[in-house]
Order: sequence, then structure tokens, then C-alpha cells
Amino acid sequence: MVKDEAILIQQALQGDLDAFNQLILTYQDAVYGVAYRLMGEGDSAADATQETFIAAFRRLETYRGGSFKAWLLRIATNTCYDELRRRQRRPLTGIDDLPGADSDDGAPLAADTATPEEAFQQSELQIALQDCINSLQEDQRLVLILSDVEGYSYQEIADHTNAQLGTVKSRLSRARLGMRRCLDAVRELLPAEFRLISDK
Amino acid sequence: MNLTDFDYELLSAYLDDALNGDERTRLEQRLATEPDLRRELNALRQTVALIKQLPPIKAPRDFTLTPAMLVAKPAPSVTRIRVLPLLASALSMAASLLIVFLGVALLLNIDTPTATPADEGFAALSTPTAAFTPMIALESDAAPTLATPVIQGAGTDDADIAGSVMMATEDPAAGVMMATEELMFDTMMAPAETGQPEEEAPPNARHFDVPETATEDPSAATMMEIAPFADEATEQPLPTITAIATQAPPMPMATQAPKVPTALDPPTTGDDLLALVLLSLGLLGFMTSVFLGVRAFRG
Repeated sequence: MVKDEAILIQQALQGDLDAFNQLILTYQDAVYGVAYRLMGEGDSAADATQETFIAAFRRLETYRGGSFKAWLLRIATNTCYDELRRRQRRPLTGIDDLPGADSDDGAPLAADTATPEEAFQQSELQIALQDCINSLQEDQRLVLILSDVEGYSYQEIADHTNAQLGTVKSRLSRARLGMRRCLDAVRELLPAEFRLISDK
Repeated sequence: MNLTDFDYELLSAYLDDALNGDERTRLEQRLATEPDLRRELNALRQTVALIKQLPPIKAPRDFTLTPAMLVAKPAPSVTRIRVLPLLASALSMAASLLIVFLGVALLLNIDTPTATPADEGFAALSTPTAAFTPMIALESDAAPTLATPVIQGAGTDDADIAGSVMMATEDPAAGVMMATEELMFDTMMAPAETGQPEEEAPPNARHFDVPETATEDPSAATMMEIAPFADEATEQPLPTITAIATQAPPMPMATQAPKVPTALDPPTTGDDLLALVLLSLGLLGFMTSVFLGVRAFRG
């Protein structure tokens, strides 16, 4: 932990909101990125990110040291899971999902994107990848994101998810196999160097 | 290609360099001899490479907090959505409780025929007594004092008798008493008219069964009203009444309050059924409303 970070956390524990906001500015991209991959679209990811930081400030006394980023990401993960389960109980039907609507099968990218980077995210391949991630089971999706998107080690993922190391390996293997089969269906979208994925 | 889940697990860990020495050696030996396994390894490697080429996502805005955010509910839209189901559930609960109340009220009215004059007539109509003396019962429904002319019409002009009956109409158990007294008069008059002794008149035996069950009746006032009537009956110039009153050794009618069968007795009327249906529906509706309310609250 950075020394400044520890000081900011102590100040935030004493109710200093400005200090906590500095921590937010440091980690908001990481939190939003995980939330985006888990939720599959920008608006829900933004809501989850905001709720994550509010919950983190309210529960700051439960932080017991270690990686503050990992602690924040655990809150973000739980927030996203809660929202996903709430949606499963009460599924919402968007206008684009109604029969006859002009829909591209729910492209998972945020609508308010204007930067070149975000424009790249809206490419067909990005949409296909995110769709395949969305099709995974929740536990497999999280492990895949933490490992192959965020670059966490097996042990870090095990700590994050409170799972055994063998469970992490198994979930990651199933997630990658699921992605491999899902991308098989959109092979025409893949770059030439990745076409081999479907050659059997 | 017949790769198992364990094979895929080995390949996945191999890509992350997460196998121990022995596992790695054995897998590499298999990869050298099994083209299917090798092809799957390449496919997985490309898949992981595709996923890893996903660019990091930049937050679309700052998520810094303000004091207002910490005061307000984190998800006001969710709260707004839950208001209507909760309100609907509360209204359903109130409606269900109303139905239960109606059912209970109906049941109590049936069970306690002394509540109001209207209820008295209702009870009289719903009891077997009414079947014995329907005319009297209907009269008591209209006005309690109408019972008196019936007694007088039976040939009795004694003031005490009339007075006792009139007093009885002021008692809260007026409806029951009137019907009972008239039943007694009817009973006493019957053998006199037929000229049969009491013991030899089986059809009239049922009338004397009524006071025998009256020991359970807590209405002391009823007994007090009936007693002088019975004493006077022995002195009546009317031979028919005197004969019957003196021939009954234990004189159950004079010493015990007669009890009119009520809706508490086994026979079930349509009103009982209606009350039970209302109770059942109300309770069922209430439980359903509670369930839906809890579910709506949880979102």
C-alpha cells in the first residue's frame, strides 16, 4: 500500500470525504472496468460503480488492510452480483428487446461513448467478446475477468472470491472453453491471425 | 476428439504456467503425440489472447461523492418502483381483514341471538324452535310484546302470568324466552286438547326434553321469570294447564330455565357456511397479501 493511500484511508475513516474522493479518483477506472465487464453495459456499470464507492465509504471501518484496490473490487463484484440477481428475479424488457425493434441483440457497450478508445470498443469484435463474456456463468465470468482482463494471479483470484485454488483453476478452464466455443460462432468477425481458432 | 474437463484444466493452467514439474512434463509428452490436444491448446491460447486484447475501460465520468449522496438512498429508482406493490399489498391486507371481521361478526351474531331484536328473530328463525312454532317466532321477530296475546289467547287471563311474560320481554334474552315460553304453553295446551295423559303422549315428550337441557343455560333471569309463572299455573282455574303442571313431579319447566337450541348446535345453517367461507377467504387473502408485501419489499 502506498504511504499516501494509507494516510488518505485514515483521513477518510475520520469522515474526511475529500480524502476518500482522492481514493475514488485513483481506483474508479478499475472499479468501473470490472463492473462494466460483469454487467455488460455502461449505464448499469456506472450505477454499480457509484454504489460501490458509497458502500465503501460507509463500510470503511471494515477494511482490514491489504490491497485497497482488491477490497474495492470485492465490493464492486458483490454490488454487481446483487444487481444481476435482482434482474433475474424481476427481468426488465428494454424497448430494443421488443419484437420488431431494431436491435443488434443487445450490444453491451455504453451509448455515451465518444473517445476513439470507446469507439473501438463498439467494434463488432468487442461486442462479440462482451456478448460471450455475458453468456458465461457468474462465477466463471468473474474469474475470467480477473484473470484474463485484469491480470490477477490464481492466488489473488482465490483470495478475492474466497474460493480454493483448485476451484479457481477449474472455473477459469470452463470459462475459457466457453469463450472458445462462443467465439467459434462469430469466426468471421475474428482478425485473420485468430481464424485458426475455428479450424479443426 | 475426446478431451475431458481435466484435460482442458491442464491446458488452461499450462497456458498460465501454473502446472508443477511433473504435470507439465506429462502434458508436454502428450502434446507431442496427440494432435487433437495440441490443436485445442492452440485454440485456447488464441481465445485467451483475444480476451487479453480487450482494452482497459476508462470511467466515463468521476464517481466522487458528495455529502448529499451519503444521505440519500443509493438507488432511489428502486425505491420508487417498490412503492406501488407495497401499497397494493397493504390495501389487500386491509380488505382481507375486513372480510375476516365480517365473517367473525356474522358468526357471533348467529351464536348469540340475544344481541338485538333483529338478531333475536334471526336466531329464532334459525333454530328448531322456530320449526315447532313458526308463527310465534315470526311475531317475536316483528315485536317482542306480540308474544303476550298468544299466551292470553290460550285462555289465560291471569295478570301474573301476563306480567311475567311482559317482564321477560325486557330481559336481554327476550327472544329466546318468548319463544321458549310459548313453546311451553303450546306444550301444556296440547295434551289438554287431546285429552291424553302426559306420560302417554309421546309427541309431547320432546317439549319436556327442552328444560332438561337447560341446566347449562346461565340465564338466571330466565328462571326467575318462569318460576312464578309455574307456581301460578298450579292455581289456575284452567284445568288443562293445572293438570299438566301438577302431573309433572320434578316440574323441570318451573325450576330450570329452558334452553332454546341455537346455531351452536350441530346442525349447520347456510349462514354458518357463509361465515366460514368469509373467514377462510379473508385469512387466505391476508396471508397472500403478507407474502406479496414481503416479496415486494425485498424487491
